[in-house]
Amino acid sequence: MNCTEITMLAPLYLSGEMEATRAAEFKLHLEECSSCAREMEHQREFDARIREGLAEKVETTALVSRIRGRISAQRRWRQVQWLAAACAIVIAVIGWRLMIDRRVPLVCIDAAEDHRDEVIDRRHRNWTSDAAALSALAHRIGFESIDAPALAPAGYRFEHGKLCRLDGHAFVHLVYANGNGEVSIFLRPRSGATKESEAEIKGEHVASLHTDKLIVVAVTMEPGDAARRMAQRAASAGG
Amino acid sequence: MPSRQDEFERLAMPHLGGLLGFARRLTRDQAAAEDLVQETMLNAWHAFPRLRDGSNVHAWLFRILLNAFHAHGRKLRSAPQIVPLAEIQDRGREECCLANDIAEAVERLSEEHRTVLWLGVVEGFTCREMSEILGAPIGTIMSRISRARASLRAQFVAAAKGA
Repeated sequence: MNCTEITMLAPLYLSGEMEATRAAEFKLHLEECSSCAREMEHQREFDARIREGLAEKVETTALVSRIRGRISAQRRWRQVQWLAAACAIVIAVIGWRLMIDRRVPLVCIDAAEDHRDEVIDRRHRNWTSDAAALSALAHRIGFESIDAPALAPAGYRFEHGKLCRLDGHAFVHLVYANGNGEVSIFLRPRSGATKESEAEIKGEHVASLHTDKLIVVAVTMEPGDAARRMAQRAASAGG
Repeated sequence: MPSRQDEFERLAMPHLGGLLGFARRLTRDQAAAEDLVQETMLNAWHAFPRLRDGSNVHAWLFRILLNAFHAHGRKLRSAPQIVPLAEIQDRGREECCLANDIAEAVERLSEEHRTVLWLGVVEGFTCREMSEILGAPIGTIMSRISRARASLRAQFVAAAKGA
């Protein structure tokens, strides 16, 4: 190494980050060159003076507590933001569920609920198996008469029936069974345009059919379009 | 398991004094320096989860401080408090090396030279660390610190000759 290289590499030597082989060469030059050795010594002393000269007592107590306060405030604000985000998600989920539910006619939701409570869970109700008595009940809500056995879905037999309310309107609730399960058929006379809708509500398949003369709602565990077929069959048999 | 705030306190807070001293040199104003350090610590707090284990927190904080300082542009830079050379030359050699004289002489350096001198000599950063903090090649850093030292010594030699 020559004196020019020593001057150039001095910062690395003074900061102690020169790799071992080069540092050894550097030191060897300092041993042989009194001018460079003196220069390095002066620079070390001068650095020490700079450190002493610039080192000053820095009071940080107030600043530390100010920074801690700001960090705590930001943490609280972040928690509020997380809470708000969680609330927004909950509201969005509830809203979405409500929108989904609103797409399903209320009459279907009520029918599925009645079927579950009164047929599956067998909550006590005043059922009648007497065709004449049932026809009389049906007459009260506008039917001239009703032939419950004739409305049975294929493979099912009539069990019993009664009057009930779905979506605030009176319906005849007829129950049919085939040994493996039960089907509910709900009927109500009406006039107006025809329409159909289907839904699966908590595992029950529900189909509602509005003909020009009556409303039929069928509830069954059977999958696919069984509910719709049952409703159509009851609608055509019931007039 | 220590919380994020505990870890931040342990790793970052001990450097507050050094950061404030450096910020004062940069801004030449106590209030502006405190604001700059506060901004640095809040930025560091936000970036803290992304800091990898074993990182050089000391260098990381100084880099954040310099980024914040440069982000404010000239707003935080106040005019240098220039002390007339004649005032220094009026003093003797011994007096010239007193703390105030060194501080005043450092003030007269350019911002680049003042920065490397403070980081390298006062804070003890290596050239490699300064290269990362300042985002400049190591050769540039070596050259800057050599010139800063030479410039500072020249001021004292001039003052000594004038004494």
